Amino acid sequence: MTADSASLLALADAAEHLTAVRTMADDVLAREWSADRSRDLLDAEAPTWAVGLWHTVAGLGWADILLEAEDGGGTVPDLCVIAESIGASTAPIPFVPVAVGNWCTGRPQTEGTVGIVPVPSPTPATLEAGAKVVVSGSHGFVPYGDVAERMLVHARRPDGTATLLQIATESIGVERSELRPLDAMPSVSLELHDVTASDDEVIAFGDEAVDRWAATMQRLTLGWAAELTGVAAGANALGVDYAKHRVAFDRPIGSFQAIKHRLVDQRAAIEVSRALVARAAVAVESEAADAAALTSLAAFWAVDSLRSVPEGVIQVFGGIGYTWEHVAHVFLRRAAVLAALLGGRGGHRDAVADWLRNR
Amino acid sequence: MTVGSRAGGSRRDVDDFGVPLAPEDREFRNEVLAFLETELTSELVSASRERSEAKRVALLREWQRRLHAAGLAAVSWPVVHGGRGATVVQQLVFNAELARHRAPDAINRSAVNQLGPTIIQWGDDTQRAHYLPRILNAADVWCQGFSEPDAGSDLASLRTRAELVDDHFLVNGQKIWTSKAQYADWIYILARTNPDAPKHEGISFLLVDLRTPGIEIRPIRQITGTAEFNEVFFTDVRVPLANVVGPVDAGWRVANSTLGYERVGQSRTHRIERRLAILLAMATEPATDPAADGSCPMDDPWTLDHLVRFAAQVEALRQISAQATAAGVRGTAPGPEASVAKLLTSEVDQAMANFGLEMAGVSGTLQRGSDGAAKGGNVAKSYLLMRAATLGAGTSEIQRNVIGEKLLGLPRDR
Repeated sequence: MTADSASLLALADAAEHLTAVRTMADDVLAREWSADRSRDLLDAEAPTWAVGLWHTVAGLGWADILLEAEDGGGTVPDLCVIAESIGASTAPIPFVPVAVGNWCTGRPQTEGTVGIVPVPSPTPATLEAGAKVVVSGSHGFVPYGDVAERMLVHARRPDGTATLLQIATESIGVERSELRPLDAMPSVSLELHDVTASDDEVIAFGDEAVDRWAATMQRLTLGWAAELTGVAAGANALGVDYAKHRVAFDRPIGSFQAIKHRLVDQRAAIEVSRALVARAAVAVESEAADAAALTSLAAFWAVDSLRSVPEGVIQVFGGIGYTWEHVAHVFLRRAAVLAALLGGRGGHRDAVADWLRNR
Repeated sequence: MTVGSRAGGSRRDVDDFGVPLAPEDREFRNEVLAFLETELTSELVSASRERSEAKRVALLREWQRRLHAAGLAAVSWPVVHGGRGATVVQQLVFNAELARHRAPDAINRSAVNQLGPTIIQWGDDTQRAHYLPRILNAADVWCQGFSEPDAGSDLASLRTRAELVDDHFLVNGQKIWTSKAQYADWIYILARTNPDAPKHEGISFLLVDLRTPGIEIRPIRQITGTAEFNEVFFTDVRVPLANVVGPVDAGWRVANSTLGYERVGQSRTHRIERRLAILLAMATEPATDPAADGSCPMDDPWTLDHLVRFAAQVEALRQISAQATAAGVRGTAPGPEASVAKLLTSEVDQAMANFGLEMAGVSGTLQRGSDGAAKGGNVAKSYLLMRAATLGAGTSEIQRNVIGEKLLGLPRDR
């Protein structure tokens, strides 16, 4: 080689940086968490989560990964790499919603708290005299809404004017009902009855609120897609390991093509997802015109092809994978919830279709 | 980054290559563009579709000669052997520009990619001096004789024998799936030189002049109806000892360096990008059926579901290709994603051809020359052709075995 493209080297540098972030996250999670602990939490009376681990990683700055910092702070690709590590470890922590919520408010994490989580759908609002915003509405599923101190609410007046609010969960008129999702994520259904937001609870108003909310949702969607990618990767690795050691008919079952090819096809689906998330993350970070479409493309693929990975892994395990004791169902449960949080395939499909038609 | 418009050549952004370009890369691209401007005639662009084989071969030989005259016949080879010593990015640019301008494959493309690097690595000085220039200027057209009727996926079980008698090998056996043998001048083969050695040992890599007495070539008609492949029969064919590449009995190792040789920086996604663009064009055309309501196939959610799934795989493969290029530039090993790229590319290519047939309905089944044939019969033809996507260069089953064993570390089949 006589000369190299400097910008291509930058691309290679980015890959090396992300590998370092991934290694850092994997090390912390391997030390602090295991799928067995996730399974044990499923036995708790009420939905529960890894409180201690959350405070550990928040202390390492993970919750503020998207905020500007003296060293430049992290980027959306960093968010996605850490989310994937968390998914692979099955750690039940609100990293994706809180890191995205903190980015939206621009406020760093307060030590010892869970923080702010986004309410994923818009809420009807009225504007009262004195410019106070009053919101009322219901939401079926707010991830980690049971333990967060604040919620990020995207309010819409009948005339379409948008406001972004952060509302304390203890505010008057906030009614939360505990949910029991498959993975025991501490979530709530939410009713807001004429909740009045004070001035310091307003984050953005008008077009600024619309743009910031769109950017927030892209980060949230991509973060969940990355976490789901990790869940699928963790499950597949578990299945691969089992297939190397489990002997049937005098052979390790991984030597049978029916098993081997299933695990290979699942790995291929995971690699496609990683590539799509990586590409969309760069587009979102740089506010590229196709950021929304690429995010939907990654979400579509994750919904279409990743929820089924833990399903296939349980098939590889056979009967042992159907037991409570074995951890395979931890991955199955988490993948089912994350796929649902990504939203229906129809919405993402239509967003991609518009992009495909117009290029 | 677009696909549809790019195929038509409307955009020239650096992003077209999936990587940004440095000034020296732009300079190289300008040189390639200037060459294409003057040398790539419309007759050459349509050369691959020329129905007269003699004329097609003459055109493709001419294309190779022009590339060679401009010093572009083997951009990845070292300069000392007649190449350009091009960087990874420049190889990417070269391949992308040729694809974008619809340049045909030069007649010795596979020899440039496989045989040449093998001779450079394993050959002696006499072999390098004699064969390499004749590959580059297409003085000799080469074909490859590896597969046999009983040695396809399991190539090492090949049975063609080469018995050393004095200073000659006496070759007996049969090769199959040999493309270009009907007009090629030379063939490189693998033959068993030591029948008592274990399966992967005792094989040698031989260069054989196709005009040698005892060689018979019979065409194989494919499911498309045309004959692009041949069987090649060897009966007491005398091959000089000087024609063995690398050590005698080390041919498996030599061949694996050939099979393993992949041009770094070659984007393998042009074909699937183009097929996706064609599918999208078909999907957005309103139905011509008089009873139709003006809707197009893409309005149907089930159809759209398939198209978005294809788009996801094509876009992911573009990203994987760019990442592999970046790793190649840095000189680091490509990530695990690179090892699934061939499998995914073959599978999605075939799946898109299958879906094109379904989407086109009856008109998709019409062959060239029929009234109303979808895409002039190309939908039907692609459907047949794409059976080979998951068979050639290692079946998808073999690919899965290799990925399972090498990437996942699963135990081998017995």
